[in-house]
Amino acid sequence: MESISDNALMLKVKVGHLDHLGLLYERYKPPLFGYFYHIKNDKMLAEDLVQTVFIRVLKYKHSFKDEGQFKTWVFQIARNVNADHYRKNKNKAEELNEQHHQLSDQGHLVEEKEAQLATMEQALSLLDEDKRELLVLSKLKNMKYKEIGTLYDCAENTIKIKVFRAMKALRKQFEQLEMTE
Amino acid sequence: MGEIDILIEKFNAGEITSIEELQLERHIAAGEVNLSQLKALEAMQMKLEALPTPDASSQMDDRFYSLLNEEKSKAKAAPNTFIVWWVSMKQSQWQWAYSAALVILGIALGTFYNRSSHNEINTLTSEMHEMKEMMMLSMLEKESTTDRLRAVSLTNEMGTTSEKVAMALINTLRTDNNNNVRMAAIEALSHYTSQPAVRKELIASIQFQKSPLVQLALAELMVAMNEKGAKKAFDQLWKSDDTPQEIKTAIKEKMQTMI
Repeated sequence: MESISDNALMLKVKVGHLDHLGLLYERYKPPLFGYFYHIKNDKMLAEDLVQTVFIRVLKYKHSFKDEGQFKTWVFQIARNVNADHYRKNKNKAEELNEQHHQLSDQGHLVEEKEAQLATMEQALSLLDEDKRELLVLSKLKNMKYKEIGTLYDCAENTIKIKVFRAMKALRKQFEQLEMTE
Repeated sequence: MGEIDILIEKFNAGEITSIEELQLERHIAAGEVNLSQLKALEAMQMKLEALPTPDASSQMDDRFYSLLNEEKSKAKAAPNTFIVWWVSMKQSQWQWAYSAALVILGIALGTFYNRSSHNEINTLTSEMHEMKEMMMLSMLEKESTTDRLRAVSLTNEMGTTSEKVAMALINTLRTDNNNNVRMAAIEALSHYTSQPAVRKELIASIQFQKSPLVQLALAELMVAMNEKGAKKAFDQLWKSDDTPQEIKTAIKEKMQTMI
């Protein structure tokens, strides 16, 4: 027997059965939290942004249409939340990023995690935000290139090229960090 | 060895030129090269996928459920089903048809009022009601899901429902192949649960439902009706291996709330 689909639940939320949003929250809080966590590198901030996503899901529930997937719709909202947060906190983000790099240079992170993973985490954080977001979506969140294409409003093949370039940039960053350690 | 294989080999060996890399990108875009073939990136990919994600705190859940409860309270305080229905009709042919029908009714009522003919007004109102019923029954037969959904929502506009309409809704609940239409039928039938025949048919409809969402909606309705007779029908769902565990739990909780 089928499980209740995300779209069916969201359509119920749309017509006022707000209880059903609880099921969607339980399904989507891990990927959304992971998305924000790996982009922002801040657990508390990631939790705040997940909350903002669901505030917007409630606010814009009437705009949900059964034609697309709930998954891409909710991640589109998450991307907007991320972009808005970046715009509002641009200066602060740059300052924090700088501090993060300095700390990383001192090798403090290595104390807590395996060296390779720590280096990978650092390499990811040093990428441009758009490349980082793409890799988080495609590699950590297991989204298909076609779904990411819908999210970015571009063709699947364009996404493949973007992922290819982002992976190359990550490798370059990773290798540079390894050489300096 | 073909051109593509050479490019892949050069890339994996770290010997690719920037021009060749552009050629490789073109092959990726054309779907001729899969990213998993590029072994030089595979190690990166594995390290990336191995990055751990911490668990979110329980405070995040608390904040979400507080938000949800707040929204539910607000929604209960401001129901406006007419506006919701009207917006749902949007600029459809039915909205125009309905508007036209209302204008005609208004003109007709005005004319008849001038003649002080209450009997004729009653006749006209009755005819309008019959017209709506006929429209609803014919729309239920349409292939388009949107039309069938509109047909079901039309019943909300009818003050009283004939047995014919109620049974048509029951039939929709049992046989319509679209879950959203079935859900709408449950919503419409919820206004007529004071009729014993409707209650009986609703209980009998439980066994026809395969969609967990529809099962859950029926369980909610049975609780609202305080219909203890439904327990037996839901008992079969609990015992069925086909029923998802989350639905079994939800239905059980709802049945337990019945006095």
